[in-house]
Order: sequence, then structure tokens, then C-alpha cells
Amino acid sequence: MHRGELVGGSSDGLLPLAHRRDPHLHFVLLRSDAVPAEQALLEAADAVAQRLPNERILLAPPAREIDAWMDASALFLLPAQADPRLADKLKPHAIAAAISVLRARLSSPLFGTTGEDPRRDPIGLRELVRGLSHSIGHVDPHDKMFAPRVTVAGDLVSFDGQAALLLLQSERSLDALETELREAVGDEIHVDVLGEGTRERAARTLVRNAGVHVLVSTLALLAIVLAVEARSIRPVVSMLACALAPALLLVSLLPGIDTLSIPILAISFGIAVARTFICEHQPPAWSSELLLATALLPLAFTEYPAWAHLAWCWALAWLFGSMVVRVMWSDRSLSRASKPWFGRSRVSLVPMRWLAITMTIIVLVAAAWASTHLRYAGPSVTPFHETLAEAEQTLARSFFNQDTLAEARSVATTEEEALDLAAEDARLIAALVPTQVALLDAPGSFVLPSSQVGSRHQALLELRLADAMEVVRSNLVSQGLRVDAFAEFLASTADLSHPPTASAALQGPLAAWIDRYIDRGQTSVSVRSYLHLRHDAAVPDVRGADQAALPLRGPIVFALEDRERFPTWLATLIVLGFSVAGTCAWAHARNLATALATAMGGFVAQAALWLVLDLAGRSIGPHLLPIFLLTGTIAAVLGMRACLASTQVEALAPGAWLVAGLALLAPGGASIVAIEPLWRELGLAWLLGASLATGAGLFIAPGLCAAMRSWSSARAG
Amino acid sequence: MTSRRAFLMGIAGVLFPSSAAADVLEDAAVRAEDVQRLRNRVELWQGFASRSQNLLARYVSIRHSSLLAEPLVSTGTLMFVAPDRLVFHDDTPSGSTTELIESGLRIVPNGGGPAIALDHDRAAAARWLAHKLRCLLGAGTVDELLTDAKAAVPRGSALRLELLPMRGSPTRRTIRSLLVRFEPLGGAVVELELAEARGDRVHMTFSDHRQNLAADQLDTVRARMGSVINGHTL
Repeated sequence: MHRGELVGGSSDGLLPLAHRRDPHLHFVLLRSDAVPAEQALLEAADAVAQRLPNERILLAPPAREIDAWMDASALFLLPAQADPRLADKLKPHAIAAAISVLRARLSSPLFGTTGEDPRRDPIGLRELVRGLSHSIGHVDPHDKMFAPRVTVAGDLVSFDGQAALLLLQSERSLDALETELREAVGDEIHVDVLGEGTRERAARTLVRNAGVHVLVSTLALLAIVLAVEARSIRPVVSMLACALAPALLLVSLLPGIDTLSIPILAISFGIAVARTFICEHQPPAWSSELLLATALLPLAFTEYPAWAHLAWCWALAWLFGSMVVRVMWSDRSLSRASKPWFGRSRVSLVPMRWLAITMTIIVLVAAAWASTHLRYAGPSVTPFHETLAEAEQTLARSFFNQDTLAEARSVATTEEEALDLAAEDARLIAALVPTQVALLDAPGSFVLPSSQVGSRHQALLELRLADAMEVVRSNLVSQGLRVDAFAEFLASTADLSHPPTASAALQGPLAAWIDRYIDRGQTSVSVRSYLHLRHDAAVPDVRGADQAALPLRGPIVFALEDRERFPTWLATLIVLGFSVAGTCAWAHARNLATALATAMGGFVAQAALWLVLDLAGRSIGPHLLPIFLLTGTIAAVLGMRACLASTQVEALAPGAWLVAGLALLAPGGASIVAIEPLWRELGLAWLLGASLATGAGLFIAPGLCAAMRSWSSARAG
Repeated sequence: MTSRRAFLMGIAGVLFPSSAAADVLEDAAVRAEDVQRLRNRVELWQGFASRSQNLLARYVSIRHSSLLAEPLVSTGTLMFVAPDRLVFHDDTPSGSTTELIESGLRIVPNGGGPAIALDHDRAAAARWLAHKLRCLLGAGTVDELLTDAKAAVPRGSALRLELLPMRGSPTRRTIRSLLVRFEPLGGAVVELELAEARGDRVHMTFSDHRQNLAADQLDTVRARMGSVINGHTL
């Protein structure tokens, strides 16, 4: 997003910058309704390649280049543990049996349709390589039934031939790129551009349309609540203006309104109106203002950039709002203009000790139980879009899930060294397939690390490949097969003078493909490897010979790491909130029981929110952190005022608190009917959180306060 | 005024009510005599195939391939058992047995060794060819035979039909054409020539067709085949 734009499109604001995807990298999904579609798709892919030659990136090494490279290098790339099986295949009787089986198969009328290519491997040596295919990038058309196939041009085609996938790296605007692609492929091919850029555009559209609806609906609901209470236009307008002041400052401080901002802005409207309304009926307490201003401050210490930024903006906006309310509240004419239906009566609160204690114990025990099985929702957000989700599902079903993509970098001073290091790293990562890594796409997997060249060469020498090829030759002749047809296989298998080293790879048929994985810096060169991590596994701990961990990057990496530490983060934030609430309440009331009861009120509300969300089957993740913190703060603010009311320090205006409660619920009501799932999720959480906070603040906090006071009195007595 | 092409299409539509046949004829029917010849050929075959509950025949197969010093000649027995089992069983241990079933195919070397088992979901060309062979040599219908294929009638007096995979289909990258010759009186398939995209050609001639044998006769043949390919049940 560009600085200065009001509407932002960031859909991964919760991801640290290092883990974010490149918005200029676009997957181009081509689909056709025609049956068969493959030829048309291949032609369309070719048209795209011709139209955008400098922007197209090979997704996989072209099939012929793979074959050429593997034909010459397969035996070198076999791991040492495969050597016994290789030796078995090279024994004279095994060779004779393999050639006679080949001859038998050739007599079948359907042999040509089996995909066997005996010319390149008459004795089945490549079967040993196929066992490794999971660790060699996208080169896996044989062993997985639904695996995509690599085209001759280096793109991918789905197993059923109904979709093709290309990769582009383009600085053009998405609209211009789409227009270009549609012109290239024609009307009969359906084109979808997928990636971070597309998500950003969808998010921007969503915020412009549905986001504005949520904010306007929230304001409308708040206006209705205030109008019903005040029955006069002037106080309604004044209070809304008071509420909008901090929200407008918040908007100006945020880098832009994105999908995450919309529900937070709506909630800020609700809290601001509730606060302003309370201030009209009860003198504002500086401690309440401080609590609200610091409500999100703990987020400043988290790793979520959007929340860290929001924490400071919220604090500044709220302090500004407090000043506005002070000025407005000092204008008594506003209060006089309002004619509340509940009158201006004040009551003292009667605390319910045993109810509070019982509820606290039940909620905390149940929340402790719920915390043992967290349903975690990651920080990546896919904005709602009519066709985007369907296209992304097709991409995941037919090719791979772009959200599981992680990146590892092997850094060295030269290209050869970096590729050599990448080859070492690729072998370490390949050992994690399939338990932790679903698929590895790494140029290094085609390269033999320099540290292994000598040992591999010696191992192959001991297999006496040249002698074995002579046996193959004689068996071919005896079975009536033409030796010349297999000449390339015989020559390349016996030739051990060209190991597949990094320098050979950089000059060989795979060089063009490998080039896209290389980043050249001023002083260093890095080679990227891509891993598709499994959602159900931890982040792999890949360590080289020097025991240094290989750094992994990508949304999935952050999500998996965050899943592990999220409960700790949440607990830390709650403890911070607990401390702030207790300190503010103590500073205001100068009473330990009030301070502890206030903090406990917030804590119980947060625990209850966790419990209810768990019982409702909702996932909990970083997107809900502000809701948890605000729930605790609202409960603490209400709890402090209720504690004071219960001890006759100040009276409570019950009608005002009821209206304030409705104002708190309004943003949740507006968000819960939005089309964006994230907003619905946050809206629901806020509805629950605000309700629970009100209950905890008004009933549990004063009850606990009274219990502690009586216990203290009993001890003193 | 009705054009000649429209008139021919009308005839094709009457003769072959199914849409697949009509589509095929639309491609093939440039001359009225072609239509008539195609009709005769497919009708003859259809009459023969509709009666097949099982079928035994002898075959001679000749593969021409650049892999081979000389064409590979094999003799064997074809066995079809309704609804969908088709077996090509070479006589000698140096040959193989190819078994087609509904879900896939299996090529088993008669002298032992690993078999190739192929699921049709993974191999479009194998599925296409297996389907056509099962139709032609088993109990197929005109619709089934002409589905997913383009038919052409080669010139000449012999009762021949050429089937081609549809243009743009993955099958086309493996199989170029399948030429069939029918027996002029009974309609049975007496000759097949498969042209593969990589240049191989397989020529098969069939003789001694025996249709609808008794179960015990079939069991005898099946047992004889099974005894040759030890470890595999047909």
C-alpha cells in the first residue's frame, strides 16, 4: 500500500515483513471448459510466454531439460543407501532378466500407452530415482496419481489436463496484467491471477464497499440507541461527534484502513459513544480514561505489525478523545438538553459475594480446561471475494496450496558456492518429506554437493558400470533389440567424468530454470528453495553440518511458530492487562480490594470469552487479541465503577450503563452481518466479549470486592 | 434449396440417430458413398459384436519399432469374456499377457518378471486404446466405439475403418491412429493396425474366431493361460 492512501489493501498485516509474500509474484491459473482442454491450455500458456517473455518465470524445469539432466546424472544423485539395489540391478542375471522382460512387454499391443521409455532406461535403473522423486521439486509425475505434470515449456498442467499454471513476476498493475493476459489467451480460456497482489486488490475493494457499510451501519445503530435515550437531536449529534473525534484521529494515524482496521474502527465508535454517554451522566474518571487508552498498549510488544502499530495509535487517539470529552462534558448545556427516559436517578450497587465467587471459580476452571485444546487460526487473512476463493481452491486442489509455501535461502559469495550449499540444504530438507514437508521445490536437489562428489564417484566406480553396460549390450543383441537405439543410455551410464556439480548445473540444461532461484546481492548470492510445509506439523528444524539452523520464511512458517507460542503471548498480554487494570484502580480508589476485584473482573471476562468461543467451536488466533484486551478493559472499567458504587463512594446511573452497554454491542451487530468472514468473526467475538465484560464488571467485580473487604475486616476484627 | 452437405448430414442423422455417430459422420461424410460404406462397415461389426458373450480367436502380432533389429512377431490367443474382460495371451514364454479390465490394464511377462499395472485414471492413452479394443473385440456398440474418437473410411474395397483420438487430447500425443479391418461376411475384426506417435506400429491379424463358447471350454483356455503366467490369476 502506498503511504497516503486512505484505503489500504494489506491482507497480511499480522505477518512480520520478513514472512510476507512478494506482491509482484503472480500465479496465473488457466482453465477451460472444453473437453479435452489440455492442448488449448498449452497453446494459451505459450501465448502468455510469448506476450510476457521477461515476466514469465519457469515453475519447474522444462520436462525435456529434466530428462536430459537426469539421464546424465541420475546415478550420481542416488543416495548411498540405494547402491545395494543398484548393484543388484547391474548383476548379469538381473540385466538378462530385465532385457527379456522388456522384450516380453514389447509384444503387448498396449505397451506404447504405458508411458515406459525403454530407450532411456532398458534395465529399470530410473525406478531407483523415482523413489526420490518426492525430494526433487515438481519432478513427480509418476508416483502420485494427482500430481501436476511439468510441461515441455516448464509450466504445470493439472493431472486431469483441465488447468494450467504459470508464474509471473511483474511490476505492472494487476488490472493491466489481467488485460494483457486476456488478450493473449483469448475468450475461451479462463484466466485467474492469484497471489498477494490479488488478495490486496480484493481487500481494497472489500474495504471500499462492505467496509464502509459496516462503519455506517455502526454509526446508524449508535445514533438510534442515543436517539431513543436522549429524544433530542443536539445531544445525539454532539455525542457522535465526540465519539468520532478519536476515531478520526485513529484513521489518520493508521497507515491505511484495511480489512483488520474496519472492525476495530467500528468497535472504537461503540466504546467512544459508550464512554461519552457515561460521561454525560457520571463524572468522568481519569483512571477509566487511562485504562481505555492503554487497553491495546500490550499489543505494541507483539510480533504482529498491524497490532503493534494500532496499539500506539489507539493510545494517542484515546487520549485525544479524552480531552474532547472533557471539554464537551464541561459544557453543561449538553446535559441539560438531554431528556433521558430513565431519569437521572442514582443507585448504589448491592454486591453478590457468593454468586461472584462461584462464577469466578467456574469460569476460571472451565477456561483452564478449554485452554488445553486451542483451535488456532493463523495470521493470514484471505479477503472475501466472489471468485477468488474458488480460484484459490482450484489452485490448491490441482497444483499446491500457496499458503503452505515457505522459503529457505542458502547464502554464499558466488553462485556456485550458493548452489552447492543449496544442494546440501536440499538433502537435509528432503529427509523431512513427507512428515513435515509436503513437497520440495529446490534447484539444489538436482545438484550433487561438492562434499559428496568424491565418495559418490568412488562408489559408482566400484559398481563397474562399464562392464555392466557391456552385459546390457550383449543381452540387447541376443533379444533382437537394436543396440544403437540405446546408445545414449549405454554411454551416459558408463561415463563418470561429468558429475552433476553446481558448476555443471549452472552451465547445463537446467541453468535457465535455476537462474530464477538466484538472488544476486552486492556481496553475496543466495539460492532460494521452496518448501510446502504441512499444516499439522511443527516448523522443521533444519541444521547443517555447522549446526546452524536454516532460516525459513513465509506465512506458514510464522503461523506454525505462532501457533506454538500464541497461548504464552495471550497469557502475557492478559497478565499485563491485569496489572494495568489493578494499578489504575488502586490509584483511583486507593483500596487494594477494589484494585484486585477490578483486575479480576477483567480477567474473568477474558477467561469467559475464551471459554464461550471454545464451546462455540470458534478458532482463536492473533486476529482476536484486541478483542480479548478490550473485553478485559471494558470489564475492568465497569468493575471499578461498580466497586465504587457498591461501597457508596459514588452512585451508579443504571439506565446510563444500560444504554452504554447497547452502544458497546452496536459495532458487533453491524460487523456480524458483514460479508467478510473475518469481520463476522470479530463481530461475534466482540458481541460476546462486550456482553461478558458487562456481566463481569457489574456483577463479579463488586461481589469479589465485597468478599475481599469482608475477609479483610474479619481478619482485622 | 437444400445443399448437398446438409442433405448428406440428414442421411447420416437418419442412419445413425446417436449424436456421437452423427458427429463422426459429419467429419467423415464428404461423399455419399463414404457414408454408405461406413454405415455398412459399422453395421456388420455391430451385428457380430452384439452377439458376443465371449470370444476366442487366434492372433498374429507384429510390432515394428526402432528399438528392434527386426519386427517382433508373436502369436497368441485373444479371449473376451463379457462384460469387460479382454486378454491377449502370447503363446511363448518370451511373450506377455495383456489383460484389460474396466479399471485398468496389466501386462505380465509370460516368463516371469515384474508386471506393469496401469490405472486408467492415470493414463489417458491406455484408457482410450483399451476402450476401443474392448468395443471392437468384445461386445461394444456404435456409440461406444465412436465416443471420443474421429472415424474415417480409408479408400479401397476392403472393409476398413480408421479411428483417431480427438485433436488436442492427451491420447493424441501417444496414439496416432487405429486402423481396423472387418471380415466382409460376418463383421468380425480380422485386422488391427495401431500407429503410435513415437513411430512404432503394431499390426495384428485375427483368425479362427469362436464366439459364445461353453463355460467349461472357456475355463480350460483360462487355465491354460494361467499355467503359463505363474502367479497371476486371469
